[in-house]
Amino acid sequence: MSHSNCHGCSLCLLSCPMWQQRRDVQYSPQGIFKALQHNATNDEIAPALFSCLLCGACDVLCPEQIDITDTIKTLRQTLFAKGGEIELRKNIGSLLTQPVAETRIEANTIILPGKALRSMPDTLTKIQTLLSNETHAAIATDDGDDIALALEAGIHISEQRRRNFLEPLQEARRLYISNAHLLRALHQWLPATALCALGYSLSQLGELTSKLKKSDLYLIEARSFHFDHKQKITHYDQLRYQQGCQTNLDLQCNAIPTAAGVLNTLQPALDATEQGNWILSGRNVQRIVVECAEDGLAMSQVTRQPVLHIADLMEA
Amino acid sequence: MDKQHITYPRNTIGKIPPCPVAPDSLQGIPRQQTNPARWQGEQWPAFVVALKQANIELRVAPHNTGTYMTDAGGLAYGKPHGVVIARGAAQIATLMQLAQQFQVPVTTRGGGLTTEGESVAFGGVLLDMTGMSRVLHIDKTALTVRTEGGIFWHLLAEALRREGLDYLSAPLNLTSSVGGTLGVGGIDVNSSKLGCSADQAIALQVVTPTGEIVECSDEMHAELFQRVILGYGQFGIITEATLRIRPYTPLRMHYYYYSSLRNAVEDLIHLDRTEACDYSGILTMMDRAITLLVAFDSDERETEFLNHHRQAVRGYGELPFAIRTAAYYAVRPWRVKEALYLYQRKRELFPDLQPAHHMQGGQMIDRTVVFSRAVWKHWGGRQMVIPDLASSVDKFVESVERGNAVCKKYFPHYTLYCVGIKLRADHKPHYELSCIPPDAEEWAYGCEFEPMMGDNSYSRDQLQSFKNEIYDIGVDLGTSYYRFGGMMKGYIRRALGDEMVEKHLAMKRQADPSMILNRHVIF
Ligand SMILES: Cc1cc2nc3c(=O)[nH]c(=O)nc-3n(C[C@H](O)[C@H](O)[C@H](O)COP(=O)(O)OP(=O)(O)OC[C@H]3O[C@@H](n4cnc5c(N)ncnc54)[C@H](O)[C@@H]3O)c2cc1C
Ligand code: SF4
Ligand code: SF4
Repeated sequence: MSHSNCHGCSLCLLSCPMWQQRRDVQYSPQGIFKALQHNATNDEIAPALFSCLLCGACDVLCPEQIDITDTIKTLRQTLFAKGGEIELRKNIGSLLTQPVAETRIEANTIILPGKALRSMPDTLTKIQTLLSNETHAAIATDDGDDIALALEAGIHISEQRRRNFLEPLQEARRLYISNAHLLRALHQWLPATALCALGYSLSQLGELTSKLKKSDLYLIEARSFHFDHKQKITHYDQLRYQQGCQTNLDLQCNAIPTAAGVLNTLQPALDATEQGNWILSGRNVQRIVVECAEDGLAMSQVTRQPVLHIADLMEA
Repeated sequence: MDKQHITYPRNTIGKIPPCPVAPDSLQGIPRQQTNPARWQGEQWPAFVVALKQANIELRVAPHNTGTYMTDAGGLAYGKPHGVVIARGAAQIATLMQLAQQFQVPVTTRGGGLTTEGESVAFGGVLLDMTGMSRVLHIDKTALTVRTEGGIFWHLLAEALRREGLDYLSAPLNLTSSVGGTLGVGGIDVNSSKLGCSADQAIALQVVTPTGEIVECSDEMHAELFQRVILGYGQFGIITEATLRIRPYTPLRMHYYYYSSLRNAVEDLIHLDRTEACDYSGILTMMDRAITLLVAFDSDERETEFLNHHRQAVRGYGELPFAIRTAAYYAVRPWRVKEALYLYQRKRELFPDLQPAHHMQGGQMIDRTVVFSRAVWKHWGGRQMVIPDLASSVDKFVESVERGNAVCKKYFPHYTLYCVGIKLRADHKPHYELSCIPPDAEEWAYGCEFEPMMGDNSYSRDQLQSFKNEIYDIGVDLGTSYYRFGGMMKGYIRRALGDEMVEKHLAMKRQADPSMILNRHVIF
């Protein structure tokens, strides 16, 4: 279904952090699509396009089943291709020229942790231990942070860079990926490989989740959750009722995202504090457990309560 | 046109007057039930300058105005000259003062869930109230909430549920706004016990058509309060509301199945009268498959019902009903298509009425999310045609049966949704010229007639004719309607009488001298 199928029911607004912060329909899938139906130029909708967190909550809600996040990414690509968003391009430019490691990794299982988790070596070691069952789980030397950013921003990725990134991963049977944009792209690029969302996989380990307490707020990573909502909601629904912990699920059973994301950090369109406060509002929690390191960083900015990665429950 | 020289056709209740349009046009569609004429923008340029001087942002780009082209009905189309996003009572007050001065129409829009074009602007300013949608204060002790008027009920629920609280009753539709609903009604499956949403407002902050900001309630500026509540946005813009709330409870649901519409409706009325349940409503699939929904706020209430009231309910449980239905069709093989439709409908719809992640221990966590998403998925689309009849208890069975016969004439498949509305004796003045029928005592009853259009396409004329036939029943029986405004405003005089309409028109002229606020909805 394309944006021309939008009939303006407004359901997408209900879980949309971009709309919730602005309370202006222009900043919502409905506003973007209605504007396009009335011949808006890409420049006219650019502010909304680049305020979107690509959290995917709207994809779950749209009764017309419009693939909203993909449409927004495509529109971002078109905008960049036509030379728009010059400032953002300048900011992103340096991040895209990352050193490229081409070494093939001799492992069946590889973890792509992303930048934030890399800066938490102890946690990363625990994750490695937790995910090394029959075979050793290796950490990728190149986990494609730049590619993830390009995917999020809608910037062209050179074929050579893409090949360099994929080359070391070709032989692996299973990949654990932290970044949801990368996870989605890898589904197309490596269709034969078992691809797992890192946080979701950790949340399936009873040895970790059994340590969740009633006074915990468990933060589901929104992007990969919404990408596969039908399957994952059953798991998280059971998790919250079995463990009695609170989660960031809203009444629609969508996960309220933090404003974490490289794009929003580079060019803040949404207020990370307001978003964090909304997640915490009215809740009585003593600890926040995250499955995504970036979410952990975002939450530690807004609360004095301890914020820890789910893998760190190994010790607790 | 000079307002003094408008003449209105005089009719008496119970008579369907001759069609004022050409004799060869569709029967029963008077001229006012098509899109109203667009305001021509006589003083628009000067008004725009004045707004700018007052620092009010006005959006005039075609993609801004085009966003509000139609409402949920999808049959009325109109474009405003410009859009203002509501940001505060003071901003709206200035907007209204200037609009009066320059005689520019202002159309207020909340969720835009009207189906007769009431929230569509045919020129002038479209005021988008969703810009004012924050919860201002929750009083856990007094069990009240103060909220901005443009908030969606669903977002209000999100905030209240964090505190273990809930609103009382609201439309089973996630994107209707508090302000838009208080002006229209707001019917939930618990309205037979708790009344309509409009009856739960304790106080309002209103911007009048002439731009005063007034706090009103049953005690303060009571006359304004009476006119704004259920007033279709004619007497003021609701910018803030104080509402009653309650502790949150999940629902214990039961469904009973009927193959007689009359029995189901009679049982619904009986359950409401005896206060046997906390939630009740009827949802039909076809004449042979009618569902009576009954639900409870507590285990005690549920047990009490099962012990003392269940035997009075003539509907069957799911399994006995399935066996009876199978037996019925087994001896009527020529009706196999009907049987298959029922089976398919049950398979598609029922899982959506109790999705696992919205249930816990057999209880429904959030009725509005479940029902609203099911409504949009199974009945929603570009065009939503939902005429209705709102009657007193005595006239309800006949209204439903006659409406059902009309549906059958137009559509192979349709749904009837019936609910009771408990009335407040002290709110009689609120009910004047509203969806609450004047002859209703203690309870009013509403029935919506919703065609299942699926992928079929129906002409606008056909849909309009269908609505007219339903509304004609109301004129004949002397009922009211939930959706009598907008393109259906012609029915107001016919159903409720000239005297009542003239009385309110005189009040409207006094409150809104340029007749600019929410034009074409009622007047
Ligand atoms: C799919 C569907 C399901 C529905 N289900 C139900 C249901 O279960 N129960 C029920 O009661 N109704 C139901 N409705 C009807 C709808 O919910 C009501 O019309 C609704 O309450 C309108 O709210 P809104 O915010 O969409 O108002 P709008 O459609 O935006 O406006 C309604 C009217 O109020 C005026 N208005 C809007 N905001 C304000 C304000 N702040 N101050 C003053 N005037 C204002 C508008 O000008 C307009 O005349 C349904 C409609 C649809 C399309
Ligand atoms: S992806 Fe998230 S932020 Fe973007 S439009 Fe959808 S709900 Fe809003
Ligand atoms: S939910 Fe889908 S159809 Fe509805 S307004 Fe949003 S994008 Fe449009």
